[in-house]
Amino acid sequence: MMRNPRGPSLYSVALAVIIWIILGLFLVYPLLAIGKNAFIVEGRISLSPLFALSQDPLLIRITRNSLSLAFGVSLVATIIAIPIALLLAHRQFTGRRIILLLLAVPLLLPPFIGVIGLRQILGRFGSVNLLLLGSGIISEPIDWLPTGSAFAVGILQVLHLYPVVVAQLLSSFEQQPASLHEAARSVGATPLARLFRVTLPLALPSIISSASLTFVASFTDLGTPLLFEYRAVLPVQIFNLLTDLHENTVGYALVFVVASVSLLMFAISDLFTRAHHSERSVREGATIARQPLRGWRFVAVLLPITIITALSILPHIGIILIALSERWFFTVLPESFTLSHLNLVFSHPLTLIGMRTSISLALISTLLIIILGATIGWLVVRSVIPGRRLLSLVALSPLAIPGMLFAFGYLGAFSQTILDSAVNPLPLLAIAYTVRRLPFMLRIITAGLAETSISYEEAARSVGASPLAIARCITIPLLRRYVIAGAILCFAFGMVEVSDSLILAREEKFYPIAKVLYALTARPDGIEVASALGTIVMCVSALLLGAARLVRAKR
Amino acid sequence: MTTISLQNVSRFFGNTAAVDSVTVSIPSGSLFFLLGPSGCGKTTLLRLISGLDIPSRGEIWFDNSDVSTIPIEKRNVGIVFQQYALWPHMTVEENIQFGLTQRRMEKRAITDRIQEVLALTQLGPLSKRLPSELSGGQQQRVALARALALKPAVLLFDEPLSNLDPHLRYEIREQLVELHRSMPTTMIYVTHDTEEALSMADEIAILNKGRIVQSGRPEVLFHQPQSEFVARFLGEVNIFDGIFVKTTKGIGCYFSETTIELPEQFGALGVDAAGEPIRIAIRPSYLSYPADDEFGITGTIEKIVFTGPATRLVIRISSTHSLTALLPSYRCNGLSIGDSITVGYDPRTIARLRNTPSDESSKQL
Repeated sequence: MMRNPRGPSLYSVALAVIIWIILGLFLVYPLLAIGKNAFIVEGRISLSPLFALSQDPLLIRITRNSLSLAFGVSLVATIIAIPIALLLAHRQFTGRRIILLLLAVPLLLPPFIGVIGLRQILGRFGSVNLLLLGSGIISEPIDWLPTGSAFAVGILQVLHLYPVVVAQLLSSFEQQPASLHEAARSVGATPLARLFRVTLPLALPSIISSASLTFVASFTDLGTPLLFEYRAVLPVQIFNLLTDLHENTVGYALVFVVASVSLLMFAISDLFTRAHHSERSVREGATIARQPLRGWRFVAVLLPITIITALSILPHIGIILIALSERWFFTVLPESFTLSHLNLVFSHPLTLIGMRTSISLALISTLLIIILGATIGWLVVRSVIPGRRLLSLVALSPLAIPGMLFAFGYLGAFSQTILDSAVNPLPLLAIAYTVRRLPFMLRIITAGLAETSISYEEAARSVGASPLAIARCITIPLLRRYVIAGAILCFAFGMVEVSDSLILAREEKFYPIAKVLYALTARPDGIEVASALGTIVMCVSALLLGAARLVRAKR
Repeated sequence: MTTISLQNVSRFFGNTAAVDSVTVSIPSGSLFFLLGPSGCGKTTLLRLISGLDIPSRGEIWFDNSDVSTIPIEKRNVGIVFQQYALWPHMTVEENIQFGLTQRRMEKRAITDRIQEVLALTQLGPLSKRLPSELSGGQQQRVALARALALKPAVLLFDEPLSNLDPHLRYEIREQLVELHRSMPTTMIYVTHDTEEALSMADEIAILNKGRIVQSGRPEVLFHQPQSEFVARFLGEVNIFDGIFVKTTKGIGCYFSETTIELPEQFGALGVDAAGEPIRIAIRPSYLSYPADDEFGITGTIEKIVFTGPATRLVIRISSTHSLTALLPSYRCNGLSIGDSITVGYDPRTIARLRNTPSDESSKQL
């Protein structure tokens, strides 16, 4: 009689069913709801909303604007990131670690809050203009960041996103085997030939992948264009249509366009990565040792990197200075400093609501992420249930799906239900944070499980331990540092989750930090408190990211 | 002590049979080896015996119980993994204690048992250390102590010495044999190391492509291999295909104008067998020089390789055949390439192989 030795156990099947129900309800269904709301008119399938969209010259212009902006941002960010990543990967120089550290700064805050800081420095009567006017270099102030301009939005997005590209490319360049470069040298290839024929082609999958990530991030960024009052982009249009979303299907049709473009970018990146799989797999042997950089070369290299890095942290410096300034008006730097704005954060009704809401939501979602991430990770890596790859793919898909799509999906899927965000957005916000950040935890846990030999669990089985005892005494303790690191990251990101917070939280009493920051920036007296709150969030995020790094590195 | 018996056990992965219709009986209290090249299915077979995996087909019996589908935690087996699988977050003592706690033994009994196995494996002073603070040999002993603590009916070893340096491997080999003598548990040991198997085993089963190709006592397997695969796997060997002939001294194998005398028991084949094809094997180390007058093979030295105590000679004995001889180096002084040489042999050291030259297993090697 034939047996099926590798049939799934009953409890793994039960767990898989529960997980599929959760993902189906809160990940797949909301996205399907976008399509349903966009193309079902009066109970019948209709392409008329899309047709109407294609006939509207304004919407066509807006779509074109969004695409051009995203293309420009991803191109510029990639062009800036490649030389920086190359230098950091292959050269050793004084200040390398500081630059690596500073590159993480833009990631500590959502880009839109940086607008306040940037305006204070690069605005019409900002520090730079005042400095130039004072020294007689210019006679009229220059409008570096004109309100309502795509250029200003693009600059801020580039400054926020290029460190992400650097991080991804740095890892790719560092992993390239030295032997491939040495082989090129042995056949007489010049440094330039090696760069274009070996280094860059080998890193091409990472370049394409990070460029597409940047493209989608810019294409779906709502906060920055809102703050710069640049309204001719799709996310802002969608945001403006929020109020009559149920009467006007154009909003959903626009969301559908955003979803399609994002999906297309993801597919292009995925196809490209697969096509170059053979190149990616050549990652063995010693990697390239970093060569020291000294003398004039050091200066020539460090100067542009320092300028770009300084520019990217300029918004954050601006925010910190505003938060600490007692009076900063028509002067290059604040005239006097105070801690009163920082103190106000802990007594202002709106910031208190924001902190309380965000901390609660981040805690709840982190807990849910740990449970879901650990369960899915175990099912994917250790169990033999059918459809494991699909489960992993679905759970990781939020990496490629912009937050605003989820937010709109939730609005469409759960209005007039127990989860209606118009009544109380907190449950949906917690779910949205969970689904959006689940991929981070899942990746960390699957990596942890893959790095942890299954023989530890088999050895426990051999001495008679039950599945529960194995999970409690062996698997979880072995994965502890991965789970803690992942949880810290998810908590930190949850604190500053933007799109879902802006879209789902509509009443002040439910505002998370991101929406509080947005609301405060719109008030003339709110800039200082917003900056103070931003500064605190930045410091907390920096501490949390540092802690996560330490935990992960600890053996 | 437990007798283990496997009946027609198979394990398929898709359409590939990793273990294919294996039937074997492992005597109670023996130190039994599963020996074979990489990918032959020996670890899969060990996992089936342990209960970490269950067979697609066939039965596994521990004494009178059919354990085919019983999981490892209910089989009372101990296992020493290839990479030891010591839980890195637990000390030596905690690694040993974990299984005892799972069995809900009394605290006092647990403490006593831990002390007992720590003493047996000489790990007492290291009991508070983490696995990362131990050497490879010490980790190996902890893995053994952990398996022994539960007094298993069967003790399984999955290439436990493969990560150790040769000197330590030799030392631990001796200790394991000593342990087996003092504690006659049925032990099954997987290895691809021929010397390890021949020097330690009570019995060996040699596997190839998921099947047991021959099993028995080490000396029998070494001296009387039944196939070219077994003969070659257990050491260097000369193999000749010829025909069965009657000679003045008895019977022989004739090939390419050379006749090699065969042991008398081959004569049981009878006169009728004359002219039938025969395949024989002679180990190079069983050839002697100078040859005595009775049995010798003459040829021309083609190659001389000095390997320390022994020297390997490749001798051309006909236009189509050559012979390798492994001789004491001091006997080879003065020999040169091109010299004519006669090496002696004892017909009793010649093995008759069963399979034909087209055997796939032999082609693989």
